[in-house]
Amino acid sequence: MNNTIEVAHYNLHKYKEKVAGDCFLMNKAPDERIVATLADGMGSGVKANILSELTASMLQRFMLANVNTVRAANSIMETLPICSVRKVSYSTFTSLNISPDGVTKTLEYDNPELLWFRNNEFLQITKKTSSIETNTTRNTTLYAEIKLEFGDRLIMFSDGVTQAGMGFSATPLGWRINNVKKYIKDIISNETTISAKDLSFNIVEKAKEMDLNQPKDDITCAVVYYRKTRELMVITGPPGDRNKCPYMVEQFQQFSGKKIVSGGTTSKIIADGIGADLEVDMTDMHSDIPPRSIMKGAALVTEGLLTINKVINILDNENITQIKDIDAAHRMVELFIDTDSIYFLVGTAINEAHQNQNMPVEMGLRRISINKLANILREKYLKKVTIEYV
Amino acid sequence: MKITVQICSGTACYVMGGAELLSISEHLTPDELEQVDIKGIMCLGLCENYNPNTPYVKIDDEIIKNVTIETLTERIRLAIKAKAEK
Ligand code: FES
Repeated sequence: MNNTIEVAHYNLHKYKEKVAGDCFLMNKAPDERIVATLADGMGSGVKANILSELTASMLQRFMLANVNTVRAANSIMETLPICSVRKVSYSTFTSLNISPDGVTKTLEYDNPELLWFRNNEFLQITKKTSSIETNTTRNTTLYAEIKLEFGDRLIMFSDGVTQAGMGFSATPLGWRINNVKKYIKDIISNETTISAKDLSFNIVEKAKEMDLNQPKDDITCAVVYYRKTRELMVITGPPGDRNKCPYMVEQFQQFSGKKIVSGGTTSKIIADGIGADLEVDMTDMHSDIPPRSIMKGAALVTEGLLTINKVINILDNENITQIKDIDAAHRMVELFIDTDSIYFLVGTAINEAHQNQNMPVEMGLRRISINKLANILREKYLKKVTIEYV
Repeated sequence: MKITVQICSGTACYVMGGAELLSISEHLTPDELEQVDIKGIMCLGLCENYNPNTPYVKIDDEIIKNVTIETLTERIRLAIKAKAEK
């Protein structure tokens, strides 16, 4: 499959509240469907927390099992506890069941409307209603089936977003859905490929600001970004058998995603092979690793082991949302983070210079470093990683 | 034609002192800088076979080994002088 369903959410608790009243859950079904639910428990604190979690996990179970949406809605409505005072269900929700081909079933109950964004505008979701009589009241859920295309986003949030700022003279009625939509549209038109993580973070932070940084309710936003899978290739190390150089060059040329070349000799092999210039970027000066180089066709060209080892360190330890000093290693980290699937083409030639006893730093073997890097990318960053040795 | 100074920024040279050499322009006068073209270069390919003579710099066609900031400054000045005498 060359499509990726990128899902992320961001949440803030109500000011001074220790537990979340909103709950967002996301799971992947064995058939690669993604199901996600945002539930908002009435009130705040522990009671809201238990109810929203209960609602969200029930919905997730239905959606994972691919139960008919209306049936799922009805079962939820029948089971949900009803507030004895207000005679409405304790928890509102938005639930999505997304197939890898983009077909998406939606189910909504009383949350701010689910937004569908494509090509710089919001699309109308044609919804059907399903009403069910419970013993105390009549509850109506909205459901729909839509087909996502590459580049589409689905955005859902709790009313902590739409009602942010409520009561302040500037925004007596809160932020309100139309203004939220305008804000989202502005963000995306400024940065058309903004990640689900950054978009949800931006929306929640803006809502918090409207509440003068003391959220009056839980604020949660979740974003689904349906897009082409981003692929990245890393070529590092000369091949064990120098006759394999043309193969490396060919792989480089045929790969359609972004490409990183790491290592001096390797870079020369590729540059010679494709007839490109290779130039060290003398403005990229940092103390611990050599500067990057520039070569046509490559997103990044770096020195080998020092850079790779620093990348491992960053991915393992640093808070990568707060990268400041951008050197070649950080550039590599950014490319990794921004991708879904990474293909390492690793040459097995041993660099004798690195075995020199006089070297002031310890240089392990390339293979070991790459394995370590691949494991971190798989386990900590959930990337799909393949390694080929030549 | 300017004098080309290629400082090896490959792994072996970099860790053996090449990192410092990349800032050579700070040690030259504006006049001198006018006459040289300072570049980095990925591994010159001289560090193989346990060669203990890193870091390397290439000034035009001449390779110099075991370079320090002091020797590099000196070599660049000599090259400028030699060119002026030609
Ligand atoms: S690193 Fe300088 S010659 Fe190889």
